[in-house]
Amino acid sequence: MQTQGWSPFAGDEDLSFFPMIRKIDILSSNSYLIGSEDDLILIDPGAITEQADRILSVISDLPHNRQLSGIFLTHTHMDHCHSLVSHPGLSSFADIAYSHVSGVHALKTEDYGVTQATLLGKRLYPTLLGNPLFSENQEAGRYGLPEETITLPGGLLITAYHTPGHSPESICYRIGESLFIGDTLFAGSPGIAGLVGYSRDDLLHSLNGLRQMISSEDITVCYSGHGNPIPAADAIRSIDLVLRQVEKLSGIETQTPGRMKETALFAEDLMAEIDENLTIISGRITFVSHMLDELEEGDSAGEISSVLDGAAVDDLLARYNSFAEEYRRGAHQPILLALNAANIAGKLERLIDRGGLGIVIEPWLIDHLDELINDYMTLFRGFRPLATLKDCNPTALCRKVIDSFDPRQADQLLESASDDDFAAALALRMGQVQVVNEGSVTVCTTDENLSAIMDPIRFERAALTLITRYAACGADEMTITIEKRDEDAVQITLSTGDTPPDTRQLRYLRQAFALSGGTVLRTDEAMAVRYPAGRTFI
Amino acid sequence: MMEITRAETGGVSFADVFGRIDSKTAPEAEKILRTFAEEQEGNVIVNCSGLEYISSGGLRILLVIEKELKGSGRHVILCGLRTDVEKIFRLTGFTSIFTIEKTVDDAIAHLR
Repeated sequence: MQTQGWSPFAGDEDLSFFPMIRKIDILSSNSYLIGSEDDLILIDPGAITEQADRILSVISDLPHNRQLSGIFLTHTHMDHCHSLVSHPGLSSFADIAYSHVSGVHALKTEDYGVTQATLLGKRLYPTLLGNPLFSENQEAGRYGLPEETITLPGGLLITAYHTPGHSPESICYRIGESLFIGDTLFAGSPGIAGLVGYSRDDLLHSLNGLRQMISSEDITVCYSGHGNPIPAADAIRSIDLVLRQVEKLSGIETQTPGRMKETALFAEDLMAEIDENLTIISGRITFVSHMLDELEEGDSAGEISSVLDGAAVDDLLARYNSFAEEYRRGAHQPILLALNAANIAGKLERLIDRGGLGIVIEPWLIDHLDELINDYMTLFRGFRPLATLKDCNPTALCRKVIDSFDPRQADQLLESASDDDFAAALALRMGQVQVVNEGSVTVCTTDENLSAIMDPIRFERAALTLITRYAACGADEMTITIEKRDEDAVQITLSTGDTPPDTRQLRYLRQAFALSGGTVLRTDEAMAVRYPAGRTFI
Repeated sequence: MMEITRAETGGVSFADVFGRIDSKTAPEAEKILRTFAEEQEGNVIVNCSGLEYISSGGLRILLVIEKELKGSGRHVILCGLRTDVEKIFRLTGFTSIFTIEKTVDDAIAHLR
C-alpha cells in the first residue's frame, strides 16, 4: 500500500489529504482520508485488517484528539467496506457512515449477493449505517444523475451523485475539484461486468452523466476505488473506453457465485489443456531444433528455437499452476482463480506468434490453442462459447481426421519441396510427430451418407485431441462408429480401450464434444456423443 | 516441489526424481542431474516414477544433459515414466531422443 503522508488537497489548500493507494486487486479498495479544520472523513474503509489499523493509527497520530466525522461508501461491495462491518475499531463508526439507501439496506439485512460477500468469501454481520442517501430525492440533476449535498458538522461540503450500474447503490462523491468514482472505470471489465446488481443500461446512463459532469465542471482529478489518481482528461478518455466496452456487453450472464465456481472449474480444465498444448508445442520446437542441430543445420535450428519464448511461457504456466494449487487447498475463492486464469491466458496469448509457430507446428495444434484461450475468455466475460452448427456428414469428417494421421501426407511436403525450401519443409515434417500409428484407428458405419447437425471444426479438433492423447497413453486400437440410433439422432462412438487420460482431461474432452453440438452419453471405455440428425446426403 | 535423490539397486546408482520439473525447479534439477552424471561413469539412469509433471523447460534440461553426455559416448536412460509424463514425451517426439525403459530393473538390464 502506497501512502505519502498528509498533503494539501487538490484545489483546496484548506483541506488535507491522506490517500492509501493499493495495488489493483479485488481483496480491498483504496481508502482516502480528507481533513478540514473541523471535519475528518474517510472514503471507503476497504477490507483488510492492516489497512483499517493503518487508518485508525493515522487518525490517532493527529493532534487535538481528532475523530472521524463521516465515512462515505462509494458502494457496499465487500472489498470497499468489509472493515466497516467487521473491524472492531471501525465498526463502531457505523452510525456516522453514509451510503445509498439500498446499500444501507443490504448491510442491515446481510445481503450476501449485492455485497458480493459470497463471491469474495467474506462474512457479514448485521450493520446499521446511520446516514442513508437518496432516500427521498431520486430526481435527476444537471447531468441526468440524482445528486444530494451533505454538509458535515464542521461545514465540509460533499456532493453525492447516484451512479448505479456497477451496483445499484454506487455513488460518486465530489469534494471541490476532486471526484471519488469508486469502481466506475472497472464496471465493464471481464469478470466484473455482470456481478449481482450489475445493470448495463444504468451503467451506460451513469457513465454518460459522469462524462458530461467531468467535462463541464471544474473537476481536475478523479480518485478511483482501485489504482492511482486519474487526471480529469484521462478519466474522460477512460470513461469513453468503458462506454464502448459496455455497449458491446449485451446479454452477458450474471456472475453469481455458482457461475463463478463453474468458470473456475472450466478455467482449471482449460488451463490444464492450454498447459499441455503449449508443452507439446514448445517441446516440439525444442525437438525439431535439436534434430536440425544434429543434421548440422545450425542456422535453421536457431531460427526454429526463436519462434516461441519457451522460458516465458513456462514461467507463466508455473505461476498459474502454483496459484491453482493454493486454490485447490482452499486458500482462494473461485473468482480469484478465474481472474488469475484470465490474466495468465491473456499474457500467453500475447506471447504466441502464430505465423512463427506455423513454420514448425501443425496448424490444428495452433488453432486448438486459440480455441482454448478464446473459449475461456468468452466464458469469463459472461458469455457462452458458441458452436457453429451445420448439416455435416460425420463419416466424411471422421475419415478426414484419420487421414490427417497418415505420415505419407507429411512426407509429400518434403518430396514436393524445392532445394531452397527443403530446410523449411524438413522442419515442418519433423514438427509433425507421429503419435498415432498407421491403421490404429478405424471408422465403422452402417451408412456412408448419414447426416448430423454439428460444428465440424470443433468436432474435428475434439476428435484429433482425443485420438492423439489416447494414442500417446498407449491405445493402439481405436474405433469410431457412426450410426443412426433413431430418426432424430446420429451417434458417434469413439472406442478407445481401457487407457483413458486423467479425469481432468476426460472432463475437458466431454466439454469439447458438447461444444461441437453433441450430447455426451458416456465416457468409460468410449466417448459416445449424440447429435441431432440432419438432412440425408445423397 | 521437486526433489532428486541418489538411489542404488544391485550396485547400480540412479537418480530418483520426485515432484514437478517446471520453470521454477528446472535450474535446480539441471544442476543436480549434471553433478550426478559427473560423479558417474557410463550411462545415467533417471528414475521418473515419482515425476508428476514436466514442462517444456524440464524437457529442455534433460536434452541438455543428454547432449553433454553424448560427447563422451554416454546417454541418459529414463525409466518408470508415469502415463501422463510419458504422454508428453510421445507427443513432443522426445521418445526418439531418449532411451526409455519401463522400470529401474529394465534400465539396469539395458545398461548391462
